[in-house]
Amino acid sequence: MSDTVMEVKGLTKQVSGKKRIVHDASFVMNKGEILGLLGPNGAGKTTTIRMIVGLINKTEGKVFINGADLDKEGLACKSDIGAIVENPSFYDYMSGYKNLQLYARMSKNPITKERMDEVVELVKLSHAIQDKVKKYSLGMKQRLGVAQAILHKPALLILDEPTNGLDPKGIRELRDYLRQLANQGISTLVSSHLLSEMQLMCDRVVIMEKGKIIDVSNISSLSENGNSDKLIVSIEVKKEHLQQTEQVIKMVDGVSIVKQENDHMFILEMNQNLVPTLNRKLVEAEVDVYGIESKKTSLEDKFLALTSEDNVQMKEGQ
Amino acid sequence: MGALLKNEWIKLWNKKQTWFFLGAIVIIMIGLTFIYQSFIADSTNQGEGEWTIELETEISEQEEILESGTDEEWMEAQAEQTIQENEELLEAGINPNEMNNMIFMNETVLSVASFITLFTVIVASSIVSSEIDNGTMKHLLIRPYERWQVLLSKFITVVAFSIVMMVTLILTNILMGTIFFGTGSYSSQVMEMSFHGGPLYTTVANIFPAKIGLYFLNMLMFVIISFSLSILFKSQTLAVGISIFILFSTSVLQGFSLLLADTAWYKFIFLPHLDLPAYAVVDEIMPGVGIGFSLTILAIYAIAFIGASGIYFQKKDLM
Ligand SMILES: Nc1ncnc2c1ncn2[C@@H]1O[C@H](COP(=O)(O)OP(=O)(O)O)[C@@H](O)[C@H]1O
Ligand SMILES: [Mg+2]
Repeated sequence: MSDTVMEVKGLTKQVSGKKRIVHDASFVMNKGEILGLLGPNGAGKTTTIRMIVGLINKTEGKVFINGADLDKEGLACKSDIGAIVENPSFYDYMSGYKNLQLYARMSKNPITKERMDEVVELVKLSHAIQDKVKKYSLGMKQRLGVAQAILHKPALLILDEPTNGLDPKGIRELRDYLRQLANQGISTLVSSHLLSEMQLMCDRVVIMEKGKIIDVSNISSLSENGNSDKLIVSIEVKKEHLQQTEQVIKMVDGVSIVKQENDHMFILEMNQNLVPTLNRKLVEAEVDVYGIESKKTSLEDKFLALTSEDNVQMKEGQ
Repeated sequence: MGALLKNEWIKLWNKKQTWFFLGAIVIIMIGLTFIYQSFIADSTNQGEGEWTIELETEISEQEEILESGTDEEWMEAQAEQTIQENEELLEAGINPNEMNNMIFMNETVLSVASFITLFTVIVASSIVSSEIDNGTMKHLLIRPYERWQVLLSKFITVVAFSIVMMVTLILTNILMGTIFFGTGSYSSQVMEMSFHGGPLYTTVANIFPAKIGLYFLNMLMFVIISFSLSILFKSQTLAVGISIFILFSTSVLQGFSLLLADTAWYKFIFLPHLDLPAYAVVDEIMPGVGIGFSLTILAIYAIAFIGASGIYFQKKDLM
């Protein structure tokens, strides 16, 4: 038996105006693994998830769930998945329990009353489960969302920003039962825009930015003294030389542009031994370089480098 | 599929609106009975045979008017019509003032049924759009069912709801009719007036099932139109608004049928055919347009609406 629960290959979503909001995303999920999908708001996390669960059409790419092709065996794939997509929504004129009963009935394998109670207990909603969902707080809805997703014991759990609206205690509980599920062999894909959460919750993270997957990192190897020899390099050049710089960077194998910052900076990812080569090439191309700065990659650095621009924009917007 | 149907049915009856609609039908029916009773109270409960005398008296009154001659043409015309109607009633042996629960049912059920159409159209146009609107649709579509199954279960639910309302209406009607007007024979004789032709003398047993059946088909068509259109909209309010607009504008536009009947294309659009109950009384609603033709046209439109919206929903991106 294969240990791969899900394989995503070249997933792409193009919306009107030829804009690609997810571009060539590929990753693999192993059995019992908690995989984080990390990226700032608007990165394309929800869009990726929507394609995997079949809410929107893929423009390109393939998804395999337990080896089955989503395009050919859609129903079988869906049976194996439990999901929360974006904000959890419920029939708020009914009780939490009645809502769960609806979803239980839609499962292909029957769900007993004991299983219902067990799940309600697990997400700590026993006290409020007979109340109308109308009265629930966002955090309680999140818990109910998790409950409906795990009710049928899916092999693959997909949670889109499940910590939204949860208090620290709730987040901790979520972490604990995801780990519990993982020990039972259930894999979880969990998206978030908060790195600190992902670091505590996940085994690995896929980092997404502007629709592209820019990194897949193993949390443990990226702890502070990680031995990765990849560097994040920021390079500052004269404004007028920006285009030449980009051309030069593209000529050097093994250097990838993480992003361009302001109008005179590039953030790059590369091996340490390529730094002198790049420097020499830039000099040859007569680019005025004001500074090259490099540091060891840690997930945090990388993520902050990625999101710093967004932070600045957000602050300006306020 | 059974699970989906059951779920839709449960969701429907957990909404206050559903019970409100059902209660409204009962209350409107009761209200109508009182209004009806206050209008006809004075002319019922005559002795046996008195009604023939009354009709004959009326005939001779009208004949006097004709003989003495009037300047007003319309008065003459009306007098002639009254005489003719009364003679026909006498000949058919129908007491125009006779009232019992069956005659009451035949005369009043369809006027309250328009509320059923309205309520059903509201439910039909919100059952999909509300779930897209409030985000619960995504929870349905990630389950191991085809999208068309989700749609079908909702459609069947709407139709079943309209049947429940119909049955409730008829039961309330019979109950009120029996209390106020006493029991009568299902084959009581009645006169039917029609917009398209002269009066028709028949029995409740002959006409009532046809009226209800045709009314139901007519309503089904409105359900199909509003259900299909609502799928195109994300907003529940918009979907319901447009459907109600279509419902009301249909009867307004049908007022122009006489003007447009001569144009070659008019009978090929669905509008004039959405008056099926007329066929209970007349054979043709326009020259050369009978029930077979109307049902065919409506069926073609129904398939087109269902097909187009179904295909659209099957492929739709649920953002
Ligand atoms: N239907 C759409 N048409 C055009 N752009 C869209 C559509 N849906 C989402 N987007 C854009 O795609 C990007 C990714 O959105 P999303 O997947 O929701 O991001 P995330 O979940 O990572 O915050 C956003 O910039 C968003 O504005
Ligand atoms: Mg999102």
